Formats: sequence, C-alpha cells, structure tokens
Amino acid sequence: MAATSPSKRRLQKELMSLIREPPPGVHVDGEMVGQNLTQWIVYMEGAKGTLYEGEQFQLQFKFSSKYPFDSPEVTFIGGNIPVHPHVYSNGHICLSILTEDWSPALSVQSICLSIISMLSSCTEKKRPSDNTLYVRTCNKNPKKTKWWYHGKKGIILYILYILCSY
Amino acid sequence: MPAYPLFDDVHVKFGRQIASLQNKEFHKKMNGLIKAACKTEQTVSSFLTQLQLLIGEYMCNTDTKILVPNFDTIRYFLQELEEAVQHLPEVLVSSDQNLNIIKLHYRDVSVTLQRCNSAEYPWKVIASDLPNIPIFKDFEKNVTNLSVAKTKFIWQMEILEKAWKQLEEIDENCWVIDPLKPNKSHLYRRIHLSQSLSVTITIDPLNPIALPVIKFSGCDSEVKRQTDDVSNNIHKWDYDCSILENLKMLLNMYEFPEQQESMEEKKAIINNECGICFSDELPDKICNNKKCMRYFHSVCLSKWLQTDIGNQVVFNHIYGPCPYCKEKISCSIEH
Repeated sequence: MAATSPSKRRLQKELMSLIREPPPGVHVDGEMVGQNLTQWIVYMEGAKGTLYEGEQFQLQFKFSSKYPFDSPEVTFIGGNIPVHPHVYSNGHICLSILTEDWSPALSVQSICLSIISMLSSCTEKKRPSDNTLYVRTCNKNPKKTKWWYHGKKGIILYILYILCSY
Repeated sequence: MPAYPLFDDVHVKFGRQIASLQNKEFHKKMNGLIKAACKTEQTVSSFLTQLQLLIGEYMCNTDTKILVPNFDTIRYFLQELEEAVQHLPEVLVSSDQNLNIIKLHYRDVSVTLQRCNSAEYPWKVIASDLPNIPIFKDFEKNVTNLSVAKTKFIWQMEILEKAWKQLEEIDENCWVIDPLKPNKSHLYRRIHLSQSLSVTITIDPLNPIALPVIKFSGCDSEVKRQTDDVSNNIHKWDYDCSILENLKMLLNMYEFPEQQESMEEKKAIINNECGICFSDELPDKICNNKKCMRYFHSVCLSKWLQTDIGNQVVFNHIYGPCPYCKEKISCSIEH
C-alpha cells in the first residue's frame, strides 16, 4: 500500500502494531481503518475486577493531517458510553493527554491504555457533575473545550468559562 | 485411431508483425477451422496447412498491409552487436528476447541500455549500478553504438575503482549501519561508533582519498566531543593513508566497534525508528538524557518543538522538552 504523507505512514505503522499486538481487551477493525486511515473505531472491554467488567465500549479516533504533531480527537461512541466521572454522556473524555499534555511520544495504543486505566481506577460509577450543562453547551469537537483537570473546582471553572465566552 | 494432440482449448497466437490479421472476419474463419479440426480429429500438420492457406488467402484478398520487418535494420543491428561483443571482451553483453535491451556487465557492476529510435541517442540507460554523479551524467551522449557504450562504461569503472576500494575497506572494518547493503552506487557510509553516536562520511569519487564530508549524528554531548576531536586532528590528514586509517586518526580511535553478532543488539541499533514519525529511515538525533536516549529526525523534532509554547530559539537552534522524557533537548530549526 502506498502511504503518502508522514502522518499516514505513522498511522499505517500504528495500525499494524495494534492489529498484531493489541493491549488486553482492545481490538481494532483493521479492515475498516484500512479504507480510511484518518478515522478509527477501537473496541474496548472493561477490565476484569473493575466496575466495568463485562461491558463493551467503542472509541472513535479522528486524526488530522498534522498528526502526530496534533493530538487525535478521541470520543466514546455507540450505545454504551461508560458511566465515569470524567466521561460525559455525549462520549467526550476529560483526559489531559488528549489535549494540553499531548506529545508525539503517545500513540493510539498508549491512549487506549490510559483510558483503560482511567476506567479501572474508578471507584464509583457516576457522570461528571456538570454533565447536563456541558453536554448542552459544548462544541461537537472535545478538543475545542478548555478543560480543567483538577477535581471538583473544574465544574465551577467550566461554568465561568462558558459564561465568559457568551 | 485418435488424433493426438487433441484440439480442445486450442489457442492460436500471432506475432506482432502480423497482428494486423487480428480482425473479426479473419477470426471467425479461423475459429471455423479450429471447430472443424476438433470434429474431424485432424492432425496438427493438416490443420496448420489449412491455416496457412487461410492466411495466404486473407493476405491476398484484403488491402491490409502486413508489416514485414525491415531486414536492413536488423542486419545492421546484428553487425553492431557482433562488433560490440568482440570489442572489450571482458565486458559481458546480455540481452532480452527482442534484442531491445542490452545489459553490460563488468565484474559485479552492470548498466542496462534500451534501444531507441533516436538517431542522436540510439541507446538509453534504463538502469545502472554506477553512482549518479555530475560528470557521469548523459551517459547516452555520443554513444553512437554499443562498442562506444562499452568503452565509456569501462572508463567510468576505472575512475571509480579507487573510490570503491576505499569504501570496501570501510565496509570490511566498520559496522556500516547505512546503507544496509552497500552497492557500487553508494558513495556514503554511516558508521556506528557507539550506542549514541554514528558518523556519516561521503567521499568524493574523483578524489577518493581527500577529506570526505563528515557528519555526526547522535546526542549533543557526544557529537560535540567528536567534532572537537576532528577539528583538533584535521591538520594531520595524510593523503598517503587510506580513508579508514585517516578516520581512526581523526576520531582518536584505535579500532572501529565491530558489528554486533547478536540479533537483538543489532536490532537495537538499526531498528531505531524516529520517536515522532515512527519511520525507519535512520534518525540523526538522540536525546541527551541517558535514561531516555530516544531517536529522532531533526526535521521531526524541530517541527514538534515549534509547537511547544515554552520553546526557546537561539539563532537557528530551538530548545524545548523531549517528547518522551521532558528533559531539555535542542536541534537546529529545519523546514
């Protein structure tokens, strides 16, 4: 296959390694991704012994042509969005490596591992406390959200942020 | 008695010269012949006689021009080929079926030529093991026949012989990590010096024992140390010694590190992909942090550091955090 841009070449390589050596509980539909390298669907299982055991999730990755200099857009999609304090009911994930802490050292595989560990460390299944407000007001692209990643204050700051942006 | 071979699934093919026979009407008639041959269990020879008659009849009855090869051209070409084979017999001549592509071999080097219809340049180079250097450009120029091509080929080989000898010595005594399989067209060698340093030398084929172009790749401290060594020793370059000997002197080295035999160590050196674009094309930059030592292409690293808000630019160098360990890393700004 003639992959042209460096970004496509890297994605091609990541795809091959994800198909060959996927992290436990993760698999990717290689055939579908093969047709369009810039949009991936990754299937994920809740890890054993955690609150999400037995659940199935779907993650959507969208890559811009600037990848890996630009982070991918990652959201949960499909019928089952995990109920988690950092996952909004529209599938948006509040995870710093997806925006300001992104580095080209990260990859689809390491993002998957981070999300699995984020889910696994959860002690109580609940939506973020600003879920209703956020889902109603947010941009479709989670990367457009200015996230605060520190605990409960985040809610207030997010409200302030929307108030300011109006 | 059954006819043998059978006419089932028989195919009739025509050479290019009488391809003009391939029209519908002729085909119909020919298929009729084949069917009849199947039914009546004819022998091959009687079928061919009938086919010959049909072709003859068809050629007379139609205005179709049948292309007859120009025997003069062929005779002329065969003569050229014969002369070429006798001229400089140490250069082997091989050819494809149609005598359109001629390959000249000398030792382990070859040049492939294709016959063209151009009067000025009757032979076009389609593949060559010779390096692509300015004075060898336009091999086709003044090559009026194959004998001239052979002479020119030998002449270029002789010029390069010295350069190849120098490179061979390097190949035998150093661990060359790029090109992985050096051939005669490569005039550069990237030599492994240590886990965090390699040197690329590019020699001048016309003056192979002169100081080559030297470029270090690796982590900053090592590159600096070796660059200093080179500038201290460069006045000692001895034109009577080989490149290899001179390199040892320049780099203050007694011997070059030997190639690792174990596959894993080999892999660790050669399979170092760039930590940003993940491509295998050998990276030229290594993170200074001994615990990190990730490899990058300067181009990729510079592109990433430019997106970092906290970066610093001093002259044409950019400083910022390593994408892996966040330690300070720098590289020249490349576009």
